[in-house]
Amino acid sequence: MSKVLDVKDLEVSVKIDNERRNIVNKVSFSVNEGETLGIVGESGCGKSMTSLSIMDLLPQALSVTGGSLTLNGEELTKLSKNAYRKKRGKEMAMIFQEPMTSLNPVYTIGFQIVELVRNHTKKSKKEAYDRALHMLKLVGIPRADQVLHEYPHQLSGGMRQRVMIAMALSCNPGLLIADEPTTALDVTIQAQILRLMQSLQDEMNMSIVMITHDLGVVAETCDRVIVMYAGEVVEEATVEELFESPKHPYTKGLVASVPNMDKDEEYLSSISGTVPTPEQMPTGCRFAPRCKHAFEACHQTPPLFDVNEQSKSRCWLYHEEASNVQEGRKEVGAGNHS
Amino acid sequence: MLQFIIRRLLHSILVLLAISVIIFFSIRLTGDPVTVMFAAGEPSPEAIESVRENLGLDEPLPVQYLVFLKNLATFDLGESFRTGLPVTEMVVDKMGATLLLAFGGVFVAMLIAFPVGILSAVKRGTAVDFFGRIFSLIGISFPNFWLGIMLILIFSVNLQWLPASGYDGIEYLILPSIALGMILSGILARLVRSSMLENLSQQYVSTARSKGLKEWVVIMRHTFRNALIPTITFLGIQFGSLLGGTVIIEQVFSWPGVGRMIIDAINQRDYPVIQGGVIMLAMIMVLVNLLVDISYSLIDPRIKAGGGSS
Repeated sequence: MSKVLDVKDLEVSVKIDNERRNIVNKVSFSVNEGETLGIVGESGCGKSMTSLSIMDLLPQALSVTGGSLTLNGEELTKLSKNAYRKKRGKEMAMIFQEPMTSLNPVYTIGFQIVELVRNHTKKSKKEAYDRALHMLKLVGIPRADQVLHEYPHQLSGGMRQRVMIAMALSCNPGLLIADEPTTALDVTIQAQILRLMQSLQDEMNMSIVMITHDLGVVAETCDRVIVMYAGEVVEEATVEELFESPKHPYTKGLVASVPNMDKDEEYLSSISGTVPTPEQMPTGCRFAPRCKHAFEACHQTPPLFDVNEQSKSRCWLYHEEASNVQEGRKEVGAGNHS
Repeated sequence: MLQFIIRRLLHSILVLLAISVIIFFSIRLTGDPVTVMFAAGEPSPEAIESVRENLGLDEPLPVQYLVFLKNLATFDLGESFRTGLPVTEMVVDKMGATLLLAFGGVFVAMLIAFPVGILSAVKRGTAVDFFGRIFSLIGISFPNFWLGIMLILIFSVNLQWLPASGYDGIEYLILPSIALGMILSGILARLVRSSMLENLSQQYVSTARSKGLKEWVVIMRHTFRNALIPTITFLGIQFGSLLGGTVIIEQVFSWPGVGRMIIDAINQRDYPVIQGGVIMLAMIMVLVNLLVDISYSLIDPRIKAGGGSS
């Protein structure tokens, strides 16, 4: 399998009071052809900013200040603004969290898809409209030929997200970045949209970066997962490994906070505290202040340890010399969870 | 749509009725027109009485009003006390020039405000934005009569580029339009800027960028088109004060419009001409607002002019 997207040591920073602060810090991951990579984490952990920097769509105050982004073997960070622009919508596409506001309210559905198609291909208006119609049918929109001439406000949220998917995929991009694509939808619609994305992925042999805070979505769709915390990758694992044996204390906390129907719990489990802001980033392990396993070593920044073939974890507990500590702590941890 | 227009027209009639009451009675607070007519010497009481009778001023006020209203219904605005000419003809004759000036003012305002507002928003926080906002402030702060006089001084008297007064071709329209549109352009530029900023942060703008569209397409097609919606509303409302502004500007530039006619009529207490002129301006105002309401449904597909029937 070839790598479609390769992200190495990506740094995104924001200027606060004339001081640059990294909100995405040395993030590395890659996405293989036809694969779905999940990026998981709480709000404010940098997952959206990571995805926006891949698309070169960061808000004005933010910028990529380090690392490399490679799409199909081509370095993106060295591209001119214009060359980068031509990749968007053609080689990589993005869908967003809010289908209700993602489409422009004053243009018809057809116009908005045709606009994208004609932007990247030399198709005539007629051919572009045919393509739009084809895409709308592909994403399962009933009476697609009518919807083509309708405005976004005439469609439901689920339908609009289908339109967004149809539009994003209309130029056959090899990579789709989906930023919380189902968060704003009803649960029943969520499953439909996820299934649609998967079937289109198989059909078009496309890679997906699925950004979500919903572990249910991860379990349903992803092959591999990276867990982000405070702008860093804290764990990288196959989806099976992530749920069967989460490594990093933060991941354990996330997995534990999913409501479990089999257990009769009075309170849902949660991770106490909040994600630190860029101004108050702790030195050493960024999760340490919220971690019940924290010990002396956590004052130093931990590297990403290879725990086994399926997973990596940014936690001192996985250091060779920490195995004693790890054993001891694990019991404590297990005791707390049950 | 038709139902909407009919309802709005009925509503407009009520507005015009209210305006007619206010004008009719308020100008009669300004004094006796007959005394002004005989300004030259001391007239005899009989002479005054006969003039009164001739003009219908001997009737009680409510009766005078009803007569005025009855005639108004047939677009007969009476005859000038001064010249005896039918007011309807006088007003229609001058209205063209006034509307031309008003639209000239709106045109100038848009011509300046749209680029300034858009650039200010897109280049937010930069020198461009700073100068754009300074410009808006200056535009808002200049009284239009003063600006009119300055424009005449600079471009007519000193540079002799453009004519200072009268109306005899398109070049006569330029200075008065600028004088009239300047204040509006200042306010409009601010509105366009804030409306653009609001829309630039919308999700669909990110979507447009994610499609790989050129930046100017993102700005103009996707952002400005949406920012235009509140702008049109504002222009519709401002058209009223712009018509008010023409009264002064016409005076400064000796523009042969309704405004100057009304001022002259006020000086002579020529009631029918004042009433007729103001009523007609009010009608134009009401009509423009109706057109603005209808134009919404063209700009914003979410609004159906039928109101709730969508």
